[in-house]
Amino acid sequence: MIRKKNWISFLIAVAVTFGGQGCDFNAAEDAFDDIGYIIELEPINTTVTLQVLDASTLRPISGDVNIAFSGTVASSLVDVYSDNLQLTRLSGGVFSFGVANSVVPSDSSPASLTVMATREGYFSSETTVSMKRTGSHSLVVTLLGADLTKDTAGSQNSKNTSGSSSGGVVSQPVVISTAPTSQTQATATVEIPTGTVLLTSTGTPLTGQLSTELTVFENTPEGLSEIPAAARVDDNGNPISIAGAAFFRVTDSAGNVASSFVPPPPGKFGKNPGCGVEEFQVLIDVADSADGDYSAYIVRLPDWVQLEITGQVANGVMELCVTPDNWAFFQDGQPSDGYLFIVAAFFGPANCELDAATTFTFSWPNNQTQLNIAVNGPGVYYESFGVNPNVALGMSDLTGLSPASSFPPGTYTFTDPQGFVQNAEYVHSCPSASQQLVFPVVPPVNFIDASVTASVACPAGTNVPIVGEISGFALTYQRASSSGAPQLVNSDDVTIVEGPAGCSGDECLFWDHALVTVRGVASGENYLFTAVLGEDTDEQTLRMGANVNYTADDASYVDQCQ
Amino acid sequence: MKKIPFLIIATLLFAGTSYSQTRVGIAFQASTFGPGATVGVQIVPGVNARVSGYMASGSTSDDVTDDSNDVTVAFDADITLGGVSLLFDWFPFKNAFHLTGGVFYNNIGAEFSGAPISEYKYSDSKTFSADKLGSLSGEFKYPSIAPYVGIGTGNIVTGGRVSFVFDLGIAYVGSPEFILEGQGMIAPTARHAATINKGIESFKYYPFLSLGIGVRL
Repeated sequence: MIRKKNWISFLIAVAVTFGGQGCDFNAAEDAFDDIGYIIELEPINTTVTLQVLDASTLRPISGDVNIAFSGTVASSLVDVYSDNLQLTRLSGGVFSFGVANSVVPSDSSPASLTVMATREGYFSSETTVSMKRTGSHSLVVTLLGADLTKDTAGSQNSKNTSGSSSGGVVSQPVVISTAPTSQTQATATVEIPTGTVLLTSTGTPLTGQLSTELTVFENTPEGLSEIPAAARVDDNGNPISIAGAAFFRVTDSAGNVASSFVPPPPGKFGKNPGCGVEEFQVLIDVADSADGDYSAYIVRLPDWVQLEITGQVANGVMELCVTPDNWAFFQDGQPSDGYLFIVAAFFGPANCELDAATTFTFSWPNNQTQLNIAVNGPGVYYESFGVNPNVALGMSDLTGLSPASSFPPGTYTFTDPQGFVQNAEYVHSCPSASQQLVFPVVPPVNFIDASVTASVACPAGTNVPIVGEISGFALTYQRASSSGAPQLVNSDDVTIVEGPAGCSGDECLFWDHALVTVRGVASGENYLFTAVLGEDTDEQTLRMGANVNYTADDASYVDQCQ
Repeated sequence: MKKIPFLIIATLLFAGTSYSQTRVGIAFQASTFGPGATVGVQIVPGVNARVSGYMASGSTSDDVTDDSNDVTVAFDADITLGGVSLLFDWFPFKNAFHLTGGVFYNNIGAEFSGAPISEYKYSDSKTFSADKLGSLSGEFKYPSIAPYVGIGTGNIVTGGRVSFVFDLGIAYVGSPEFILEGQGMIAPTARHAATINKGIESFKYYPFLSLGIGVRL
């Protein structure tokens, strides 16, 4: 018989056995200790990366730029968190955002978006992108600095203080010219005679020492590319066949800016050579132009309203005689920054539209990279950023102009900054015939498709608490030795990876890195990469190889780690 | 969850015995399953059967501000204890000491929810609304059936007219299940559920301690 004492001993042993196995409080505590928020952003089907570049360097402009959107989808823009976009000012020159998913761009219903960028010290400019598909798109605005202090290829500037005004009347004439350089052959000259009264927009005369700035642009791709886009089209949106351009400004020692003038009384002061007594002279090089009458456009800034006048060309130089009415055109009581921008146009055969069925395809087999394509025609130059290869495009896609725009007849060449696009020409005649042109894209043999692993420099034990798609993430890259604009990685070439290899437990819950295929880069060369998520940017210079690591260490990214 | 009234089980017990011979007792107790009531009958001399029902619940709510991000979150939680048990007592020493075995229908669980009620300022130019951030809700529960073994004192069926009843034992409740669901931007936070379940999977045993007063009818 089992004694009672033995039963109790047995039961105690059983209780200890079960109780001893019991609960692992350490494991439970560890499990709850690391709980933190994990977020997922709504996918955005159509994304845009906006870049505001300095036209002289094609590098993003640092500092604040004012932004205004217009177009068919301007009211449907969202930030990378899918909230209504409230952007009116951009810092850092790069920003990513999206279009509401309710908008589905297509060939039959393209989504049009125009951005106007303004910044003090730069001529304002705008760019339009027509989106015909979902996915990533590039929107690039180039701003020309009004105060060019260094010469660039295609433009030349000059400053002097040769003139002076006494009692509001020019007593020493303003004579300013630019000189040709090894980079720029075009020149321009402005002469404002004695007896002229220079007035501000409120009618106040300039007095004392006069400072004059003059910049000339020559009729080359480099020169034309720097002319603000709004100055390259007429009031009907048709591209101007530009023979040359210049802008100048006159200020006095108090900082007053001349925005109109009163001519000298007839016969009392020296006559302006080449122009009438009530005019002042502007001379602009218009190389390769035959002698005769030409159109010129005086452009009012900052809203780019144009006034067409006539100039005469002799020996490759256009003479423009600016009348008080020409300049007084700007004197409407509105604040004026005083820049007089003049664009001289070729006066040749009539422009005409391209045939509606004319298309251009850049053929790059098995490739998703977006190209930056420049279109160079007779006095016409446009750059299109983020062009998709293997897609039939119209001239409007490559220039941002309306499909109904009229182009000057002549030969148009298509190039890209890296030289991948070869032998790409289109001959435009009026009337235009339908053409479907396919241009090969052939990178040199040392150009590779690099695999870039992009991550964030999170402190040990922390992660970026995001999962799922990050639709608004964009990556731009440009060859350090290139003068071209940054290229945009296609969103299809970005793969999000959650959890590091071999992870366990909570390590697997978070975004770990993005695998990015960057196509057509020169192995062994340095490229400047910019990661963009909304207004957060990070820059790294990486030496290209088959496999490259990009670790974002900007505070805006690292601060997200938890 | 479907609740099986313990009175039905009690009725079935009575159906197996003759009324004139049935010895019955009742008890009221407080336990780790909550306060409850018991009906007991003698099956054979030295063996009783008890059917008990337990129930207790509580709720709490609070607004908590996370100092690291200045977000105020409204929390609500409801906790439920209780269940139904069918236990068999064996009195080996012909006194009040008994060994007990049986099964619990476990109703222990909790539900909770939390949602931000303030904005979250992400940066100087970006603030997320509470609606945008979303909410989390969850549930904690055990498998329904839990076998039990234990010891105790007190015989409400054949002991004194009024008796003190005590039970101490272990119910094998199985690994608890933690369910987490999310809405809005923070919805993926629910992914933590797998890690939490792994951390609490060892909590398979639930202590049963009961103290009460029995009355022999």
